[in-house]
Amino acid sequence: MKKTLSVAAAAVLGGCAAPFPTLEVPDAPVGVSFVTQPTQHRVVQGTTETTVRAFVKARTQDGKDASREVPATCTLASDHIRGTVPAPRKVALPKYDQTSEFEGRGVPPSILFTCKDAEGRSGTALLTANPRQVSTVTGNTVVGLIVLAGTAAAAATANWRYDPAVRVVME
Amino acid sequence: MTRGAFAALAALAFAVGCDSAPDLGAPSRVDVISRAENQYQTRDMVIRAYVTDAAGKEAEVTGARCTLSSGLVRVRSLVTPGVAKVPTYLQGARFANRGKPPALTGTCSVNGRSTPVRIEATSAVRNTSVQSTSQSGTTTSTRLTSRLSPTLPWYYPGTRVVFGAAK
Repeated sequence: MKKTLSVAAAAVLGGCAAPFPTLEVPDAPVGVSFVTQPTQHRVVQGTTETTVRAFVKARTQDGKDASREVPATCTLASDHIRGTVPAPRKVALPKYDQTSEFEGRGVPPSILFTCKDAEGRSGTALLTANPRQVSTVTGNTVVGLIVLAGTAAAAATANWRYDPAVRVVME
Repeated sequence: MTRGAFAALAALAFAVGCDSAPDLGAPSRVDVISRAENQYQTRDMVIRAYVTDAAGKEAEVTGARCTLSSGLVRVRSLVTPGVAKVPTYLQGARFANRGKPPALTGTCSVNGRSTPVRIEATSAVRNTSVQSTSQSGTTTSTRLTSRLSPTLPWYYPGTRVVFGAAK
């Protein structure tokens, strides 16, 4: 019985395995710099970590379209922060207070990630913030594709925080 | 084409086009005249044209030809119903006017008639509501996505071009 289960588990895991290995992410996150001071009153204590990964389009052995993770250098830019991250890497991003005192309830600016690899390929992705406990379902990088799910109570009061992962596809 | 022929075309559109919208063709050509520093990815912009009869009823008409320009991009000869992949633009306080691009303006023409078109960029997104029900049974609904509008890229929304009733 145990053997049967092990074989079944291996089959499931094998079927879900990514065609290309992911790269290891160092534990220590990279920080960012604030470029505007007046906005800092909106920033609350603590940070969240977002893992930045860069990919290039590739084909699997059986000819299917896929993406392969590669090292890259990524820059971050928003109205508030700047930074450079060697992908894959975690970056520590600020959290923002959500309150009706601020315009748009204090929603922080989106962050543009621009990544380039050693072969000159480049790509961009836009990272938006969401209230705590509210997660994106289909990704948050493209206008019109935003689908959010979570609890309304949390969404109305919790801090704004950036998503935990950003994926940049380079061409 | 004469006004009579246009009216006949409108009547035909009403007769055959009441239930299903015509399919979009291949994306029209878009030329970037000047690349703004905040130009971002492209997004489909759909334009459909309609004619109005004397009673004010609208019916979609195919084959209207539209030419639009914002000064940054030019959409050449989009034939309705048609789609063009036009750039979006990053929004932020670090850009002039928060990065909002100029409106796309131009004309659409069909059967000798033309009408001006103006498409303002927007960052609005449809509200997506989430609901939660507390233990006391109270249901709370919160709109989420509209709050993100100040942080999302500017884009040109799909547009309906309406030709008035033939006189």
